[in-house]
Amino acid sequence: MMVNEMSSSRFSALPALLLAVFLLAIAGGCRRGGTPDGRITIRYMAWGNPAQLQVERQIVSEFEKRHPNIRVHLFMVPGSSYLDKLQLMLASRTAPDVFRVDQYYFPAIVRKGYFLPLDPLIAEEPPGFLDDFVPIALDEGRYQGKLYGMNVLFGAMMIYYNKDLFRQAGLPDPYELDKQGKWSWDAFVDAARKLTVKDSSGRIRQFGTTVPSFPMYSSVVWNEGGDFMNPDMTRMLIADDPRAVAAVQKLADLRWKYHCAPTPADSALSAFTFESGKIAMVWGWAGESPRYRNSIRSFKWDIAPVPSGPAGSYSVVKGNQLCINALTKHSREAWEFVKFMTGPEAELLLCGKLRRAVPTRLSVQRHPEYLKADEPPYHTDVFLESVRRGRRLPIDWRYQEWVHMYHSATEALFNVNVTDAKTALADAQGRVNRTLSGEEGF
Amino acid sequence: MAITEKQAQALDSLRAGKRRKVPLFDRPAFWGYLFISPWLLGFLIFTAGPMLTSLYLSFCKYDLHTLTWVGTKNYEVLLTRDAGGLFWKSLTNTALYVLFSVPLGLTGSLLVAMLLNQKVKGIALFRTLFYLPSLVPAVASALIWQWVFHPDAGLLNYGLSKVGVDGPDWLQDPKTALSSLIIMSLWGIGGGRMIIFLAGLQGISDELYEASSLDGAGAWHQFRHVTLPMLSPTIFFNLVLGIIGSFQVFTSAYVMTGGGPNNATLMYVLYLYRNAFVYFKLGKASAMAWILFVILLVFTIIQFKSASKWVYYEGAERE
Repeated sequence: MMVNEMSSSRFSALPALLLAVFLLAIAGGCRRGGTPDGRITIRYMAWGNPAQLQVERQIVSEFEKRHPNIRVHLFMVPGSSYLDKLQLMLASRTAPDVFRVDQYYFPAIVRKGYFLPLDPLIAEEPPGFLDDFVPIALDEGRYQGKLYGMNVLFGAMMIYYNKDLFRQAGLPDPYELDKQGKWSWDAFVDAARKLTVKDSSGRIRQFGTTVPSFPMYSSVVWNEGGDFMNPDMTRMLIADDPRAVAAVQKLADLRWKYHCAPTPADSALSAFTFESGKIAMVWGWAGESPRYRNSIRSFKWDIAPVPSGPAGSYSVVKGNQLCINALTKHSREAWEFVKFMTGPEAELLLCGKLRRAVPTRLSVQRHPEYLKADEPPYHTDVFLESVRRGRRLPIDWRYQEWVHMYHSATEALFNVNVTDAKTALADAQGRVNRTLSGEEGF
Repeated sequence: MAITEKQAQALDSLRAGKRRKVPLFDRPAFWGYLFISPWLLGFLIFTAGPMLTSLYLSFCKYDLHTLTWVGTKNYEVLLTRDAGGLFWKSLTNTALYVLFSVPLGLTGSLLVAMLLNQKVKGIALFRTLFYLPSLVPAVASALIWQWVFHPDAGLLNYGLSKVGVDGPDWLQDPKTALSSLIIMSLWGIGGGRMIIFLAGLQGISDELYEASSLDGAGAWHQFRHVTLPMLSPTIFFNLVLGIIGSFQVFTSAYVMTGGGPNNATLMYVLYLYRNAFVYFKLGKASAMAWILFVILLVFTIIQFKSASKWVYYEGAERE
């Protein structure tokens, strides 16, 4: 019974002590770093790999040099959890002042009213401020006629090709073919078939090309004269359009008829990659060029536009939007930063040095420093040409929802050869339209 | 043991029926609660709280930004008109998965446990070897199994080709994708379940086997009439947990097939995850979670009810 006697006298201090420690910990955690030097701090959130981070840091420090009264707190969030993080921060009103939003979900979030309309800020700029921007890049950031995002990391789909393999096979260069207006779908398939090589036992050891997935293959459908959705994107109509069906069948034929593109099983676990020289041509975004530049040493490569078709020579373009938080206390400083990020100097760094994106500034597109290239890809004009031929993807605010339906219905066509494009697309269209006609949010 | 004055007073007041106010720090219960408070707070904040919140959310339309009460609409939509019928598709996929993976897994674990219960040299080594696969992280083993299922280079089709069978493209073919995930689930037969069976087997006293062999029972009769009844509480335990665990299958489908091809491996929890964190339909996802909870509750109740018919506890009387 000794313990009981002790309890009241000695232990009574313990809970109070615990409580005090706890409160201190909370207080410590809540303390914010002030700005004793009177500078205004704006927070900027983005995602990207270390190389991207390095360039963004460089842009931020250039910006801070020019704006000594503003400090930019840059923080990177992993791409895989970026959307979750952004949505949570917006919903809990803790989002940073400036953040990057991927175009795939920009239309879904802009409707919620979290982004600051940029038109009033632009109105204070010198007249003609927007004239220097590529119109299609600005269009991506518009919602109901107002501008909510400035395009960054703007890019297009293009063909990366292995120059050595083309030369060894004695095939004409795709870039030159395009210059002559002969880089058609047929020319593309012809090259892909001739670049597919089997070994003596009949196993394929080198593929001509790859099959891009949706929405990266949109240009094939457009260039055949087809389309995916109706203009206000409330219904899918691809299956009713024989030209679109024919285009998708042509894509599947690369795999199942001509065997010049690896099946998902063939390419599982990187058995065939462009970097290893086992694929002659791959479809890819402009943003893939830094990676290829770093990893490819053993052969020469470059870029060409995507093949054209009877109805046109469109290419797919897509960027990300740089948005300002509608709740920011420093909208002017945030706009200064956005303006700098999308300005000529930053674009020269991002597009010229890193060459992962296409400038949204026409003045940068003409800039000699941007046009010169001492490392592959040397065809810098392909970036520009692809944007000139660019067409926007059918991304609407319910895109995330219906794209899964579209993918799962077309897997029977692309993953295993058990159906044709007509059947698969009819299935896809049915599922997507059922989703779109269902009430939103359920 | 001497009684202190204070305690004597307390006893007196108790006897007198008076409720004297004991200082907070003198109450043993206070200290009890204080010491379990880390767990208690964790439970309230991280388990009970979210559970109740999700119950509330299941009656709302919620996309993180706006919350509207919609009554039972999430449940109605799921059960009657979910887009593309994916709710029922995912539930059917999961039910098929449970139907095959649980009995196969339980039988497999039991067989392995019985093998590892033999008195042979180096048994400790064998036990370790059979347990090893379950130490491989789920994502890593899913990646390994992608190789096993590879149509040309895979181990499985190589084995089949040796007996003259042209194996399918396991993960890409909608007809075989779900079977592939069931086959892969058998990777876990040497894991925790097997250990529990092994412990159960070692708990069966040798006297029972001795007695039964004196009565002329062979190996099969011993297994049927001694091992199985004595092991029934362990089987029951593994069955209950196995069904719950299999209904929640997620990682293998998420990593290996992403729910495809053509939704052939769209598992219930994967579809729930997509609704919550891809489509941001958190109300609908919460409703799915509660439907799964009810399904599991029903299954567990059925098992507990049926237990009286086939589960034997040592020393317990049976009517």
